[in-house]
Amino acid sequence: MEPGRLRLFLVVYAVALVATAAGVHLATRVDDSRPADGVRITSHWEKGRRTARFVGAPDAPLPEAACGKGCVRAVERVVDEGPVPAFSDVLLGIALVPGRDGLKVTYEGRTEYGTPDDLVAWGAAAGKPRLGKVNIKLGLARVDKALEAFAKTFGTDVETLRANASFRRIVVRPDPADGREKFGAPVAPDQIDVARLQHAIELAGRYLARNTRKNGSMRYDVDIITAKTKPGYSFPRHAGATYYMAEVAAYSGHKFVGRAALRAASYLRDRRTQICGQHECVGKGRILTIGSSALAILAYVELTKAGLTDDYNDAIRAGAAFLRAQQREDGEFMHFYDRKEGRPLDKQGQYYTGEATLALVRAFEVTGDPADLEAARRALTYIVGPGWRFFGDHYVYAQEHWTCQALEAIWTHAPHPDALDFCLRYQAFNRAIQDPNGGYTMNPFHPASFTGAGSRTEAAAATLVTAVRAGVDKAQTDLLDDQVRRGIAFLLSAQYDPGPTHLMRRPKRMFGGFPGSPVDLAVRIDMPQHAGSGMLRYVRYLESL
Amino acid sequence: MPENPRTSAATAFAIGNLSVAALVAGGVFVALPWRWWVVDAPAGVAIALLLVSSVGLLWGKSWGDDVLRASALLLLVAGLVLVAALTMAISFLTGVHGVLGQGVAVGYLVLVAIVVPYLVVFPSVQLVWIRRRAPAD
Repeated sequence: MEPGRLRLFLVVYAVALVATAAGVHLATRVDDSRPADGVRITSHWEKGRRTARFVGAPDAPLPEAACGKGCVRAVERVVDEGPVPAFSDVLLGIALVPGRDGLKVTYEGRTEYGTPDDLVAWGAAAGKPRLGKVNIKLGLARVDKALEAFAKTFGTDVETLRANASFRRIVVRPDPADGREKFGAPVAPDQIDVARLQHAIELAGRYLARNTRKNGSMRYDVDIITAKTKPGYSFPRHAGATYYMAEVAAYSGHKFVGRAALRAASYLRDRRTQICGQHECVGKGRILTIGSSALAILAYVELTKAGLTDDYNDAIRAGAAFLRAQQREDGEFMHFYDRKEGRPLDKQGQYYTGEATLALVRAFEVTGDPADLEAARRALTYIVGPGWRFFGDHYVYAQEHWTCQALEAIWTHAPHPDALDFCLRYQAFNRAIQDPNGGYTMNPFHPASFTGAGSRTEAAAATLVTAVRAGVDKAQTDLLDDQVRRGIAFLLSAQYDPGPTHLMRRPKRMFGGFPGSPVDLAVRIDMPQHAGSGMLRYVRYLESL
Repeated sequence: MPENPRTSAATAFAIGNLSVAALVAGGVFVALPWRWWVVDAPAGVAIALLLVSSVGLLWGKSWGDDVLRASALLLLVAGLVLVAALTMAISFLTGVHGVLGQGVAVGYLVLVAIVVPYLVVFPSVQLVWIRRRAPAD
């Protein structure tokens, strides 16, 4: 190719590319800071169902249709709108900002709106979008559900609608006449005090207690719209939620929560304890994880130390013996046990090493067996040493919430400076990914999850407590304190107190829960556990000052 | 067939092609988590052409320039397509997601900055070099 022609081609390419890119940017952008002078959308909601919809001019009087007892009137104004590519579900999903954007669809001369609430109610906003095997965590996951809802509204099918309708995304803002409960509004970190935290901690405990059945099993993952329990169950999470209820009962003396904790613990010991070789283990099926046993020990220990029961001493000893039997020479644990083969499986998953380490420290506080403490010390040494040693290990971290809680627990008996150094570095990493609202995310396109904020907050609070006890300099502990407060502020903004009741079939069932994220409003049992646990650690710290 | 002289420029391009082959192999067959023929096949062809052209350049083979021209054109087309795709993604995502998109935009710009020297500038220089030395041969 002639050099002159190549140069000309590259210049034309660059100019055309910049011009096209600028055009696409300008065509797709919406301005959510504009005056809200678009149409006004009024929706009547009753128990998670939209019962009426009125769309009118911005200055028209509000509709006179009755919205009586049990009805919530949502009034929103369209701020701006822009195009969306509706020919592909993936592109359409990416083109909508979760929790902010809605959809406007015009078909055969008629226009219908899907507000952000509609998208949640249709189930379009929950979950994570996928592109093949890649979890892209960007935009709306289930736009197909929104398309189905629109198609039903227009009395046609999705493909006909997609081919013939006009799709626009809209940005809405609440009108002054909006009657919805405020949810997701930021909480100022300096408004956090002991009373506020105690209230939130108790609500989270009561949520779990209310959703613990008579036989001790739990409503594992409750859908906000239907109040039905979704399929699936995790025994480590059951045990973790039991542990939190026991902590709340111990802290507040709340009998309703304490009774539920005892039922849930009894369910683990009496219905889900199996024989793993020479030991007892918790779980179900052929392959069991050490996580269920570890978190069950935490629950048993907390119930025992709270004076709610002394029936669990044998279960604590047996569980600790199982964990020790699963430990390798280097301190790491074999995370699985094959009951059919009768042998441990030397494979590792997330969280379990930290959970087992914390469980062994807490078990030691009941058993007094030095072997438990030594096993915990070896495990902690492994986690913060050879277990996390690679090029760049000072800059990247996994989820270490159990590790830092184990650090706090072991400090009383056998201080571990290397683990403290590890957790301080881990918290510095967390602060780097903490967003202005206090949540934690490395993905700028998707809202921070409340579960992640809960677990990172409990780790940060545990690190703060230990750092103060270890005499770490004030500049460092101030950073930790600010990090914890911001994390808690983010969590408090999300608690169902009472939350978006207009989207709930049974608001009382959801009261006190924490959702997965601002757009995934289902409550899984580990969400109130981690969020509440973070607040509980911090309130104890505040009370100790 | 007459052999091409092995100049220092030819040696430099041969080493450069080996480096780009390693970069493409690592980027496509190691970094990408799943296999897709639309990406894998052109990448495989590009790696093969780069390796063969390196051999041709280092040993001064008469066919070396033809293979180098083909590999440079393939790299240039792939680079321009990739830069265009990344740029359009940046403009679309920042348009849709506003300020939230700035983080990913920065990430994509870093990718563009990595792609341009290896997949646009380098093959362009090779094409110009082949063109200029052709009359002398």
